[in-house]
Amino acid sequence: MRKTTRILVYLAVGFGFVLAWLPAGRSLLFGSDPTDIDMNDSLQTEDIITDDAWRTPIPDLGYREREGRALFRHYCALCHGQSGEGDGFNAYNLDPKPRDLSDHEFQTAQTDEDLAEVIGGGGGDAGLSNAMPPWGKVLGERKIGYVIAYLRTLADSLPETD
Amino acid sequence: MRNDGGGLDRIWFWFAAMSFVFLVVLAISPIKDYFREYRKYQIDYRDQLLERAGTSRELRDANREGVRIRQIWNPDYPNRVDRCTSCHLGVENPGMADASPPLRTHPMTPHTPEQFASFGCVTCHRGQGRATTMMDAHGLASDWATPMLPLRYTEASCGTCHMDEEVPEANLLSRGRTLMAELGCYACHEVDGHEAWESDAPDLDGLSRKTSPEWLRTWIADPQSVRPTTKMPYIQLGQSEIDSLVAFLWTRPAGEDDFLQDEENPAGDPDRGETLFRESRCISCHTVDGRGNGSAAELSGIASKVNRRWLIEYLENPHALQPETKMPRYYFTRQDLLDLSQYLMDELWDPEAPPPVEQAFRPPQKMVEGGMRTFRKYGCSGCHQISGLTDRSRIGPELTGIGRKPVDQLDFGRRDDLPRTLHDWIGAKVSSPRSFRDGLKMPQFILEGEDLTAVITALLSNTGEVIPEEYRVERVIANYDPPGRFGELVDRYRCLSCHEVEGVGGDISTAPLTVEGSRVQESWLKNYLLRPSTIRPILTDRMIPLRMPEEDAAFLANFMQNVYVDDDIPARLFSEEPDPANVRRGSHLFYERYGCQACHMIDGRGGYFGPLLDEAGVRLKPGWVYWWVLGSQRWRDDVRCPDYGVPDRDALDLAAFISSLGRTP
Repeated sequence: MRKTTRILVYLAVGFGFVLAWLPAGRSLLFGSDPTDIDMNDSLQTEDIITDDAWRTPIPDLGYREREGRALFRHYCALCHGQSGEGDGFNAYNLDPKPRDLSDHEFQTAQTDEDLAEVIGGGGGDAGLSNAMPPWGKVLGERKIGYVIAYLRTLADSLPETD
Repeated sequence: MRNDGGGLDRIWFWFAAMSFVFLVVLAISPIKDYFREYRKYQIDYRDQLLERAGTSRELRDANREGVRIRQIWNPDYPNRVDRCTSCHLGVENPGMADASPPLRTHPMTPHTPEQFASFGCVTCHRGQGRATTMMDAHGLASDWATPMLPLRYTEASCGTCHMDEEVPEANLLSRGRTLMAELGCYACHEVDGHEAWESDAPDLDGLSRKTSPEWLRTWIADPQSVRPTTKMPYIQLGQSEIDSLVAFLWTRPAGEDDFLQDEENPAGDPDRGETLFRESRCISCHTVDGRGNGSAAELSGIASKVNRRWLIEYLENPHALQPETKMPRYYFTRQDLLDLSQYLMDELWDPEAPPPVEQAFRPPQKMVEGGMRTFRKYGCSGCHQISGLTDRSRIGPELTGIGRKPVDQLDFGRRDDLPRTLHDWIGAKVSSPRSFRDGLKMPQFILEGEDLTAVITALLSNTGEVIPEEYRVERVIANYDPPGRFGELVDRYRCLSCHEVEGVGGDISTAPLTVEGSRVQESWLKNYLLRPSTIRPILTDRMIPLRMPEEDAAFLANFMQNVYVDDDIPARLFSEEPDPANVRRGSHLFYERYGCQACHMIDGRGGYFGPLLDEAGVRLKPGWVYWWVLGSQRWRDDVRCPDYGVPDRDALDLAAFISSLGRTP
């Protein structure tokens, strides 16, 4: 066997293994680096499709917020008001008055867990008014999650600093 | 024998060269695999798991995560294989809620996270489940017919299995499906499962006795400009088409005289008419200037639409003129009719309506025939009945399966501006249907914002897919006809326009009648039918006083008392009067423990959302109160009286207290 041929054989075997197991020439062989792909890929796709906003408008609220809005309007708005300001038509008869849920400070002070506890267990158990009933049995954990997601959209924007 | 060295060298050379080519070919597959996108995500995911691991067990589990294709295989659901979890690794892991996509936890929905294994991903999101690259898997490859649904339309997929109009926890879809039925899409388009759809548009016979040609012309030209809340769409007709339609409608049924002068009806007393209008609670169904329930027609402007003679006839017996109407037949006296109609004609006219021309309208026969052709052409009979036209054939294309139609089968016509996607096509079809080509007939509906998204979602939900039976969720369509004399009275008073019984009927009233006999006391019910009192002061749509004769009320009350009962609800809770101590304890529970006064008023104290309880002792049966307190959502699942998880003893005492209200001991 000639020397060059032997070298060729070794090269072939070596090259094969190198190509198979080492990260080399990725951009040369496959175009862009996979790490270049935006992690928000599905959102990006959506944006391309809907540049025509008037035709297929994006709802203001996401799925969970929409579900929460329906529940809020059905169960909560009677006392807390349509926009959560504590001015529902039944608020008139209540003492203490229902909480203003749009209050920015209140919203920042309460974690989702805090809210879930009062919504699910009622005001009485949390040391608040017993006029706030427990909704845990009617709504369950998931739906209370929707309501909280919607409540967060009711928060006033940050108060302007002087 | 011995070959010379040169020949052997050549063989070695070819052997080496072929080995090289062979190894290069062999290397392609592992190289491609090495550079798959999911590999990076999986390594990323393992790193994040290691970072978040709190216990040694979690650490061990994280280290065991190798790079491999992951898939959800569901052999029951047409052999579905979804490999989406090869990149979307954290969907089932609640600890990844704050990670960035694609590693993030799937948001909680009615089917996630518990049912990933039985649904997979493509069932809801569409795309190509078997693919393992982002472009292919998301269905963005040009030859893939069902690309991923944009997130805002994902609810459409709930409708693949949930066939009903109302789909729980899918607001947008439910709204869209309701709108499709309300707006009458099924009048023109055939859709599987909606063959039984019925229009509630009025019959068009006898219009010449009811209205004027001028009003009709304005109405047909643009109904929403006359009454913004109407469901009738803008048909975009030309002037000659409008004229011919009016001519045609005017002569139905043939042989009727035209505009009738109001000669035989003397003037009534409009003030008494106004009182009657209020007392009769017309706004329980109708609206006046937008105030009222809104399930029946807006009444402002009615005086410019109808003439008084027709109005009197209609109020006397609506069913003679519109057999399918939801309006009950009140027992009005002749004087009542004169006064009520006088009030409506004096007060509710539209200043912008054209004045009727005091001259008989006799259209030429040719115009009438042209009008009939126009009526047919635009499929008016899809919604309106009229004598002489019995064919109610649908003029639009069938829409079954529209939600999965491949884009290359869609006719974009002159809409070059539209992105080539199904949902954009549907959106443009629904919001500006005539923009695609000339000669299209679909009318213009007013749909904006979320309503438009809802209708697009509802259309996308109609995939026409055959799904396994065990996945299908469909309510059994109730079929119930109240029997005998009860049924006749229910028809006369159109109880089912508002109330639900055995799954049929309307939803204007919050009170289904199916267990009415177990709920209220017979004597109270009879009085209520004769003179409805206010139970929930907050409602606009309250029970209407039908002025029914006493024997009708007695019969209705007695029938319900005996037939509409539920054996699970105790008929007799207390064998004798409850102990005053229990009543006192019940009162304490009512006010102090459960805070019922937040919604219920007693003696003028308390909230007014729930029913007034002043007369609860004569209205409700104690057994009902007890059953209610233990879980009112058993009656209707949307009841707002919260379920406190009341213990049995408390329920008994609350029943004792509430049943004592309004009764003299």
